[in-house]
Amino acid sequence: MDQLLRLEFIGSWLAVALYVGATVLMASGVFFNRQRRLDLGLSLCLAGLVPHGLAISLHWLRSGHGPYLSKFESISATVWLSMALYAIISLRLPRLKALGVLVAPTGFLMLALAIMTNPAIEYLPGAFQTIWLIFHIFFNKLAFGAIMLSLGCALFYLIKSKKGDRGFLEKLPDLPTLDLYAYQFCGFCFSFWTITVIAGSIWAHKSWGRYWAWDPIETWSIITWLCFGVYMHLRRFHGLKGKQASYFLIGCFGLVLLTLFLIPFLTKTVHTEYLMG
Amino acid sequence: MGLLQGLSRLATHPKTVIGLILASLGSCLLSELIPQTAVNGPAYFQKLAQLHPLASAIIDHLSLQSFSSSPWFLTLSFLLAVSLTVSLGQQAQRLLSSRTSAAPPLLLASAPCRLSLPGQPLPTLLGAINTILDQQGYRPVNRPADGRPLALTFAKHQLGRWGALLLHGGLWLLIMAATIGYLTHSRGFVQVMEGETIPAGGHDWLETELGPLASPLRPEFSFRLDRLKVALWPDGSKKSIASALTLTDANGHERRLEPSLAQPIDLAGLTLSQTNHLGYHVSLIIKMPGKPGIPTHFMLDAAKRPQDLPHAKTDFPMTDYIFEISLSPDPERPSFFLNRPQVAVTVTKNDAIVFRGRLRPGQRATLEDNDLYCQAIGYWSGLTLFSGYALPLVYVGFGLIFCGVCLLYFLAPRKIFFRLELLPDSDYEVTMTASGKNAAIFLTPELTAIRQRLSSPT
Repeated sequence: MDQLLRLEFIGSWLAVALYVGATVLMASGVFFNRQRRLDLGLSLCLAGLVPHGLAISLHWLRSGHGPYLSKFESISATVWLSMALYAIISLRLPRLKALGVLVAPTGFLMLALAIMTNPAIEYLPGAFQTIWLIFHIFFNKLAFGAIMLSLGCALFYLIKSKKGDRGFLEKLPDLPTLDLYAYQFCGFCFSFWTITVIAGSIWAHKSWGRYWAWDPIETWSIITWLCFGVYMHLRRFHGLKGKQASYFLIGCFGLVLLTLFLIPFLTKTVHTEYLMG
Repeated sequence: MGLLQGLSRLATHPKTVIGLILASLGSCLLSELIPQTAVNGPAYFQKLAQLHPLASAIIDHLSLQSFSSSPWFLTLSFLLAVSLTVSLGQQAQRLLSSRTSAAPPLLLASAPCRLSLPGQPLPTLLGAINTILDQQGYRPVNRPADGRPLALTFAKHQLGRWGALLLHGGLWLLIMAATIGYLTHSRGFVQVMEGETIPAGGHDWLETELGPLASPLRPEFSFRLDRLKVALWPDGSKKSIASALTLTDANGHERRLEPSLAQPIDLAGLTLSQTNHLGYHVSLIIKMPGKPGIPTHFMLDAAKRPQDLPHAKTDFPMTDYIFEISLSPDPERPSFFLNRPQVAVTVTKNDAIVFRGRLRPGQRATLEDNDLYCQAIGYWSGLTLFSGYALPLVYVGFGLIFCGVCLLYFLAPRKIFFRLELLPDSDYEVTMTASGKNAAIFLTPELTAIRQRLSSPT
């Protein structure tokens, strides 16, 4: 067991190191307009997924349950899924590689923070032994990854609309396409968030006999979902795009952070002990 | 007919839809800002009325303290359901009539590229385009018309057009399920001791919640808790909790059931579920001279940690005694399990201590002129019984939403439009545009590949 713990520790910090390297390369690629560094940065992100995934697997083996219970597990799994989503999108759409300048540092900071919390094994409560938990957690993490990508596109849109096609910005897609990407990633987030909320409700009904109790985190998750809904409908019916849409998306991202990471701190919810440790 | 048309246009007008979503958002925000009865007890609201009478009066008159069951929130939900119903009808009508969606297409335009087939007759050229698009999974929607410029349309994943309808249909079902659940839900909780039988009829159920249209919780079965099964993790937290029950139905047939956490038991429209609430009962009897014994059961909640002792202080019925009880499941070490339980009892009467001692099951003590017996120490289990009529709708709604999302993103409908212009040197100039959901992410690579194939010499 000590051997597994040691390997897990090495894997986690190796992943942090690789993500740090990716951050440095991405940042210098963006600021100094070096495409090769961006490519290397993506390679390091991909490389980091391997030891990170190994560390998560070892932790899973030791704890006997998936990475969704303690603060450490939850953050680590969120980072892995976000990085994986970014890697897939970058391979498919190479012009969005520069999103790594947002995703990579967020990833390594969150992972490092998670490791420095107490990564001890927590045991799975009986009420968690259900498939709906898997749906709930998995799609929640995908939603976070998608909104990160959407945020990156929105930020790049705002920067490019202000600074024009100078330097690295020239390599990014044009403004309408960036705007479109931001909208479509937000669509992913909205869909995944919908599944998260419904799976959580079904799980709550099976465990506690009620779908919805207007618990603070339940309420804020529906507020966030409705905000996404407003954005999607404004886009669809009123042609909301460009800078206004970008600012709206930044607001939606703020709500996501509030719901997932601040509300459990500020008030006692059913998720508090699981998210905050 | 005009009125109906006008109402349905109003119900699905973009401003109505967005307004309803914003109103829902606002009401959820209000529920977070204004104290709710679900969280705060009557004493809180009494204090609020004393400190802020005007605010309290406004909250009370608008039923903001229980907004989810308030008339205005129910009205909002009704309007949402109506809007969604009309919208679903319109979407379905549009899809079934095979008209193109009213949504403006997301267009991607490629720069014109030259098709290097000099001197080729038009049918050969069109055949080449058809072959390339066919290999990409596209099917022609129209046939070329005579005259120039030529316009061709190819489409793919037309099944994906149903994605949005499925998504909205799933949401509609969830609203219906929420409404049915709110109106008809019934929920009761019972603490049952090992060996105790809860009779049919439901009168022993505590904290019964009943929806406006729900019938009282009156299960036709009785059950006895044979044994509470608890397994712990090494850190003392609960690994599993299950209640071994013997259930007797209305016909007198017995069967064994074992509801556990996350594995409730369905019983003909009702669901029996194990809760996290459990603890110990200490059964004591006070026997006064010349009178029958007065039994009572003290229900103690299990402590969060094994090293904490469950504790209770309450009066003994039909006497003037106040009992303060502290249970030690295992005197030799901290434990959840009742290995050799004993209970420390302090009895007061008129603020004076009249008894202090320790009792084990079966032991007797003298309490002033009376006998105090410790009859038994055991476990109690918290069970919940609730109705789940809306659950099948929720499952179907979830399934529809899941399918809708998959169609929207994996089978997103796409169209590619070709415009062919014959040039003086007998080459054709081809301009492609495309529309479809998620065009930027999924369509761009496809267009690039098609463009490359069209541009390369054949």
